[in-house]
Amino acid sequence: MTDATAIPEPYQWDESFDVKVGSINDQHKKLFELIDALSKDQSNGDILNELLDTVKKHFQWEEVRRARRPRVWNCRAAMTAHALTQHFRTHRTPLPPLVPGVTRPTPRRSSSPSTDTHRPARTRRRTTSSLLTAAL
Amino acid sequence: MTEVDDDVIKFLKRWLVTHVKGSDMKYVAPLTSAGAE
Repeated sequence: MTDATAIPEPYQWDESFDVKVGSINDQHKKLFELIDALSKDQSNGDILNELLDTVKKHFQWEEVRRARRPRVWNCRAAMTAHALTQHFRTHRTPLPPLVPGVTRPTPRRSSSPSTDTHRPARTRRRTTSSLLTAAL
Repeated sequence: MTEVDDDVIKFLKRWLVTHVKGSDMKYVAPLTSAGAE
């Protein structure tokens, strides 16, 4: 079994580092080249400065995209929220009988709907609490 | 800073690998899905 985060030897970009975005792959390839070059010439200030510049630009790219699309950046938070929403929806499904074999009484309905028209509209509206009471 | 040592090189090599595979692979494609590469 190979370690996905093992340091490649020789130290260079390969397809296992492909992020499916050409410009970012190019940035990563450049970083691999610079780190490899610096490892072979550790006192070369030009390579070191170029590496630091490249790292800075790479993070700037990510920060700009992060600011443009915060919803995507927060996709993990969104997925968590979605999972919680689904979880709460399950609580709205009809509850099973409290006692096996005994069904709950059906809520009474008016036999003469015409009389309902005389009731104030406010009392005809079924609130969440009245629906819950009827279900129980 | 004008030069680095083996420990810094080791750190840099490890950092880039984990940065690409642990972070960029997960987030770069969604961030660029709108065509803003």
